Amino acid sequence: MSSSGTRRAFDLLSKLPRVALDNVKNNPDAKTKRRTKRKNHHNHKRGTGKRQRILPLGYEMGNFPFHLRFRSQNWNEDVRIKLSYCPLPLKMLQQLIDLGRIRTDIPVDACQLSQSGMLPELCPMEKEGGYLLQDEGIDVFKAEVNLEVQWATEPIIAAIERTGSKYGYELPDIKKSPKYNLLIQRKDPRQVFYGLQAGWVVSLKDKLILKPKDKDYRNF
Amino acid sequence: MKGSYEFPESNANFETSTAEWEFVERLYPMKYIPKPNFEPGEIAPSGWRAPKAKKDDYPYFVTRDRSHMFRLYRDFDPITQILKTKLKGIEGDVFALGEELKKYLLLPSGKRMIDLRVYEPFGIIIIRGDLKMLVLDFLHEKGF
Repeated sequence: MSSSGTRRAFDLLSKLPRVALDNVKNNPDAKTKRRTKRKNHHNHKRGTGKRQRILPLGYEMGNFPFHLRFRSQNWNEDVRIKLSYCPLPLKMLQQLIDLGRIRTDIPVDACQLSQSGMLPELCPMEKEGGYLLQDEGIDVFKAEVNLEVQWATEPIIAAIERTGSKYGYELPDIKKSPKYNLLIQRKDPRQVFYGLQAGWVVSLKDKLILKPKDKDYRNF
Repeated sequence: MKGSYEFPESNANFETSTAEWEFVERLYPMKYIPKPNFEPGEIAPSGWRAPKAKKDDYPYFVTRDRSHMFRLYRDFDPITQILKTKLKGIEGDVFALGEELKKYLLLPSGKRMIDLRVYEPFGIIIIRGDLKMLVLDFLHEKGF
């Protein structure tokens, strides 16, 4: 026995249009309501804020708003200029030497480290300045190398010196070391490759080095 | 000697030499990764250990990559901030290794549950958390 309520409901259903996007109510909070003024007092004063208006967000009654005062703060303006250094733990360096990926009979510099295949290669376009020695493995470092890195701290330098590798100042018995010829090799600060000068052309096919003789080239 | 190139006369003002060729050769990378010269089980100063386990010692085997290191990684997803330890390159009965590793890992941490998952078709074990050093100790003990 259907009640009048249900009969009415069915009647409605048969006459109403189909449910579609244009006749369905939104979920609660689906649309945010516009900010409206709740009270409508009729003041007799003039000026912004005294008329029946909703003022902009952040308006400070005439002061330049705080959130608009600082147009640009440039936190990252020098990130592109500053150099970054690739971390190289001493333990990793020791491991590379143990596994034979780096030769110890020639000076180990950024070229040799990039080439070992186990460290990221340096990309000057990305402002990578070189390798940075880290102190993980400072107690196990044993190898005797002529190492050139771009950044190292005092304890790390001490750890390397301890194994017999040379640093900066003259040690008393360095001339007696059998590796004197190795340890004494240095590069001019502007030089990238040991033994090779800028401006020379290398022919890999013929295994030749071509050096320009023009005086202007040489001076440059 | 001028090599195999032809130069117009205006550019021919240079000299050639092979004396510094050894410095160029230093810059070549190695053609082959050298085999480390260690006895099985020997420990290198850096903590690297030469493998000594044979394939029949255990029902599983953990291989090393071409650089002679374990395929053991820490994986950090910066979005979900979940840190995982992954061990790859496992052959044989991966489940057995998972069980033994789980027992080994429970002891030092004192935890009651280790989230360790075995991905057998890939030969991978993934453990939630940074347990890389503990897993490395386990592998050293076994001699892989």
